[in-house]
Amino acid sequence: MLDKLNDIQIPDKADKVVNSAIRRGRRTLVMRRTMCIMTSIFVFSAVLFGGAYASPAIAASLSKVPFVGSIFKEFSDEGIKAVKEKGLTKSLELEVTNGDATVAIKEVYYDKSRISLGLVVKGIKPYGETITDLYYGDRRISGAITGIINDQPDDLYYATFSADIPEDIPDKFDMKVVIGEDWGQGRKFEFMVPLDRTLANQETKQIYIMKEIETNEGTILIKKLQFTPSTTSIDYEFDKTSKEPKISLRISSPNNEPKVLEILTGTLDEDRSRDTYVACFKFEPVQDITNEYRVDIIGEDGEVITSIDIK
Amino acid sequence: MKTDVEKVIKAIKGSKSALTEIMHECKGDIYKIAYLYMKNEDEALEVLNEVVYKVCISIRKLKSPEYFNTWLTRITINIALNTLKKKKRVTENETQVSHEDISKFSIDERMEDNLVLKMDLMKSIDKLQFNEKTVIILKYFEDLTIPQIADTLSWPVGTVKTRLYKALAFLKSELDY
Repeated sequence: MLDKLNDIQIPDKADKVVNSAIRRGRRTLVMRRTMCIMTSIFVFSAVLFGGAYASPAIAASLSKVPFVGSIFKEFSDEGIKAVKEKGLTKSLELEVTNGDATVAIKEVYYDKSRISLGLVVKGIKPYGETITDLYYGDRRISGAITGIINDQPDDLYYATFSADIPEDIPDKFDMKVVIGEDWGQGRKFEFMVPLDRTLANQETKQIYIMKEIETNEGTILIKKLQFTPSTTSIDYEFDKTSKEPKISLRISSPNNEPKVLEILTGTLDEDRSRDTYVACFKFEPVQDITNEYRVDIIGEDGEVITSIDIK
Repeated sequence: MKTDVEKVIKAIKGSKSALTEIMHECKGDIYKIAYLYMKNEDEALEVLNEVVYKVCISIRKLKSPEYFNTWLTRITINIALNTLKKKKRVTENETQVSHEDISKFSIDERMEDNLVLKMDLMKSIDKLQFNEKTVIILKYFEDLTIPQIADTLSWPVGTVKTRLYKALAFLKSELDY
């Protein structure tokens, strides 16, 4: 069998490749040593001169879970990527270590449709077995949590979590976040995250419709359309005896071609008091909203159920 | 790959000449394993480049110099896998480590070596999935025992056996043996 391996000829170029890789490795080691020295000098100077200066770069380099770049930019849905581009998200360096596990909140976004957190997690595996609770004061406010989890080597996870939120919470407050292991050691990681959606509100529009539509599958009550910088969402209800309507949204305006919005996520809850299902579906945000546009609500068969003119 | 432990110790302590010597001694073995995965010269050299680079920047973290060969093999396999993934030539399913029931594979252990002797190994292993190919390479090209393979890949011994027998059963069916 080893003869078979010997049949593979080593090309002449292999020597050059090895030497080049060794040189590259040495350059990397020199750079790392230089960075280490520079960082040490900076930290020492900060301590020497009062220590009031807090550099995000230094904080990041001292982190147990350093991450270069943006979780939101790389591991999230199109809505969060859009608000990141617009500069509506906030960078944080909040980090909690419990035993050999560390959770860091690196970014946050807040608008009327959701709260999103960009997390780096080390030492909790599998990360999908944790529970994330959000609090306004003592009131637990997190509802549906959806996420994009990116599995990295060495027990590291990058994740964006988004939670639906009630309508009656303020535009600005400090939110308590508790991330807990649902198994194993049952460790908890607690944070206070400052939230402010003042800027996002400037690009938010809510339209209460409350219109009943008869379809082949039954009656749908279209309740609300909401446009935020990160999502376009529709709230509706339908009778339990009806088949669930699969709704899509198409946006058109005088200056833009009609566009069917891509769906991001959705929730479906039972309202037992009224024998209905309550649905909220979120789609990609509408970019460049002009003052006038039309929203077509389209059923599963491609037919327009109803149209709403927004002025 | 059998490397002088004294030389490895020197490299860990920072000796550039020791590290350079080790890498040139090992380059043939690294290249051959890379070639078995990548199946062409350019990509095998690409893997060789990355392996040498990775060893250079990480060797000081190696706590047990006597395990240098195991460590180097693991790096080679991981980099080959990452390269195949980037080129979309391997799927997630191929690289999952699952604990399958070994009893469903009917090959007789005693037939194993005879089977391997008779086949054109190079052609046949090309058809194996990544994990199974890795076990065959380590068992029949690197001449490792099953416990050594388990150690190299950080797999349970049972999983190594499962993969090995699954690979041999597949190869047996290929040959209509």
